Amino acid sequence: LKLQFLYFIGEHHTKLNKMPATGILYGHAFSQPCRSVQWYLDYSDNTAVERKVVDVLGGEQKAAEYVAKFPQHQVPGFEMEDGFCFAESLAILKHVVQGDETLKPGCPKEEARLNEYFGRHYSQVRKFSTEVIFAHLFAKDAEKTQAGLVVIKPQLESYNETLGKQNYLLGDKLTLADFLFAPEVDQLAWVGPETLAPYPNILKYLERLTSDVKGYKESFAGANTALGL
Amino acid sequence: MPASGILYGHPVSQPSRSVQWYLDYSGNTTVERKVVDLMVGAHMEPDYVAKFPNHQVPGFEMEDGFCFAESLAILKHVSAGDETMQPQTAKEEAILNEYLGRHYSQVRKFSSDVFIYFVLTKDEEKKQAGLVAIKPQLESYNEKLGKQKYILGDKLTLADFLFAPEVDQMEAVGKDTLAPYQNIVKYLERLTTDVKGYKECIGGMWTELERLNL
Repeated sequence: LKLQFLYFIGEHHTKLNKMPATGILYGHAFSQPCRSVQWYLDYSDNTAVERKVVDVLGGEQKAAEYVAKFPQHQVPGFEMEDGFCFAESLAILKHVVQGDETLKPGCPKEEARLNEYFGRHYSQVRKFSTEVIFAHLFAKDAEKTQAGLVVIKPQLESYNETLGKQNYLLGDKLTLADFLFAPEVDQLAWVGPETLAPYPNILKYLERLTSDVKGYKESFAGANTALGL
Repeated sequence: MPASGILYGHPVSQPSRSVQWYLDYSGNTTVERKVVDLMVGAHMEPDYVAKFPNHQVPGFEMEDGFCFAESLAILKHVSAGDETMQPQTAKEEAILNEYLGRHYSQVRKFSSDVFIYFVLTKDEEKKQAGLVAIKPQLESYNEKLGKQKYILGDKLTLADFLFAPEVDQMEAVGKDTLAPYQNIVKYLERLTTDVKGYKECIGGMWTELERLNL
């Protein structure tokens, strides 16, 4: 009985000692993958990770000092306390979320679904959404923007259908997939108010995130402010 | 316990090869392997789409019928019990996850464009454009592999299982395609001699390409 009690105290103490992540996050408020990480930090009330803005519109990601840390001059970038640096929102999110049991898959099936989404996020969702955003915001090419919206349509239709049946991307539980997905999709609204109108379940999902999930409203507002929209 | 279930794949599909290679490497005989004949559209058949609505390969079916896709997800699932493939520190985990992000958005994005233009559309102009697009990636990895044995360092990781099948298929596009990247060529030779299952992984691809007369 004494051993069981000591084991319980040890486990409980270990869980209490899961410290929040520390380090430095380099990013920009309008970059979708940066928003994913920044949103999670706000959601989890993390004040231990310092946030530094990289002026990507002014080319700061190509400055020698930044490239020395992040040779691919990407944002977001993360610097651990000992100076070890790495990039990619997937890697950073998984690092900063390590102590958060609520966002860990609870079983092999949940883990499989989450990893399945990670694969699709880059090859489908992000690939197509960034093409639309770049064509609209930077190239100001209406034809390419519309072409991009045609390409992303099957993805949006599929997720619209999924979100008609459940609260979040992978079910009724918030997961890291939502932190990656929402910033890619909400920015499509910048193309025009009618862009997401054919996908009412996605719109309702974004409204749910706004009202129910800490940090999301500020994430989207911050992106708008950063671009002067 | 080693993973069990059913892997659906094709010997020419790079992500299928990643998983099949890992299963051979780890000596796994409990995952059944089924070939999905992409060339005749078997991945679009109702039976397959019922399991894998995105009609992708590879696909994995757990013993209770739960199905999921994406090579990343399947590789992580079948290697879950393999301590040698688990990152040992937060930094190793960060480096692996960093590669996993880049694999889809950089390596696979460009290599599959090149291969699809070669295999499916035979569009020479797009193939050449694809080879130009992938050049910075190949140069970058060529430089890395001049300093270390594997993609992420001197230890084999899941990143190698994903990377090698994307890059080795460049040789199918043209005999000298990888000639400018001698460190990558030596890396692939190292995998062939030192890493169980890789020789069969690439051999199976060549056999299938010959059978398809490609």
